[in-house]
Amino acid sequence: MSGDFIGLLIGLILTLFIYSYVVGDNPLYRLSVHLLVGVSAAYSAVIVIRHIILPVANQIIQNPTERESLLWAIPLFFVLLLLLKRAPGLAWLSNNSVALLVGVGAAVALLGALTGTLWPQITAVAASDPGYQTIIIAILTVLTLLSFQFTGRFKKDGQWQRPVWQRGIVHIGRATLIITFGVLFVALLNTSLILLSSRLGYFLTQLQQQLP
Amino acid sequence: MFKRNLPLAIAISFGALTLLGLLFLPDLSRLILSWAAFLAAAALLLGVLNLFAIHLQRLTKEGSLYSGILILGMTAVFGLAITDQLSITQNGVMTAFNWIQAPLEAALASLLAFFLLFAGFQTLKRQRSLWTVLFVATAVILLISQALTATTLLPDNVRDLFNAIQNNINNIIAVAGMRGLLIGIALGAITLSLRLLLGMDQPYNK
Repeated sequence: MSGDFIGLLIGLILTLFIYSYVVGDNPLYRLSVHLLVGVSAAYSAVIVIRHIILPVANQIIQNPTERESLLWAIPLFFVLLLLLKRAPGLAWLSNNSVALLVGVGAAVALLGALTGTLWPQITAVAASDPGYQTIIIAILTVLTLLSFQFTGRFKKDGQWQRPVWQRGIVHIGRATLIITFGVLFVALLNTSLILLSSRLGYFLTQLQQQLP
Repeated sequence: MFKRNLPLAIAISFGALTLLGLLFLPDLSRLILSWAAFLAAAALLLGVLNLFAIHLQRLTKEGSLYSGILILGMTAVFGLAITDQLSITQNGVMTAFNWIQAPLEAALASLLAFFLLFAGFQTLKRQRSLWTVLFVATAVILLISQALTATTLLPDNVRDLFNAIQNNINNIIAVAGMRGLLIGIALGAITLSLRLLLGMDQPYNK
């Protein structure tokens, strides 16, 4: 029995375990999900060790007195602080490492949202050919954004109310949003159906080739 | 006070340095981002070890079979990584990935079709509001028009009609909705990032 055939059989059995969820939650499905969690967690840890931790460790071991190696003392110090999370009385020190990640992440997210999403989306509206379609898209985009606005005032009976000018048009924005969710739902459904048929097709083809 | 202010100072200063680096000093941003990546990698390793410890505890104390399977999978991959490193095996980790992880992930992703259909049906059953009807109607119209435009059994003018409906929904309404969503998400991300960088939100101090 070749290695490919064993891999195919394991893959087929695990796939059937996952598909057994269609008839309801069962031990075979849970077993395969736990196996997936274990393998994928270990795989991500191995990738991180191979591609991030080991290159840094090698650099420090090979040239311990170089400036680049000495600079690694700063993140290593923060890693040590992170390890103190379990130490009673010193757990608060690990907040500093989380704060570093939050600060750097916020800066990257800020520039990413500005240059990667907001600016391209606004310029895409401006760069479109002028026509009824572009105008409708622009109006519906604004109405969609307005449907997210929850600034208003409270009435005497304590109920919240939108400003008068928003009350009717905000429903158009919400309808646009709901239709978009419908489109996304169909796109996702199509993708998963294609994936389902391709998985079944793959196993059938491979089994036909492998079996005598 | 010091316990709360030190993380705040670190978050603000590293955030400001990263912004400065990304805008004007690429070497500085590269350095800080490599530090953050290293720290995030260490945090991920700690998380994986924590997962291992929790399930090991469950296995030994409660005798949970599922935790045993999880531990077995983890240990096998770690073992293969070590034997790969010592050149006892070749591509052992990749083999485990191809034999176990890839089929399981693909099967779960393809199972999404059933989950989606079930969720759509349940939504219509439980919440019969105008918005739910609009959502399901959009999905049904699109699915029917996709199916009808693909077949050659219908007359051309009927196919063209369904094609036009599909195009108008996809190219006008969905584009506007997606653009509105993306701009909304970007504005939210910018607001949240600014709040974090100015120290108005301190999730690390909770």
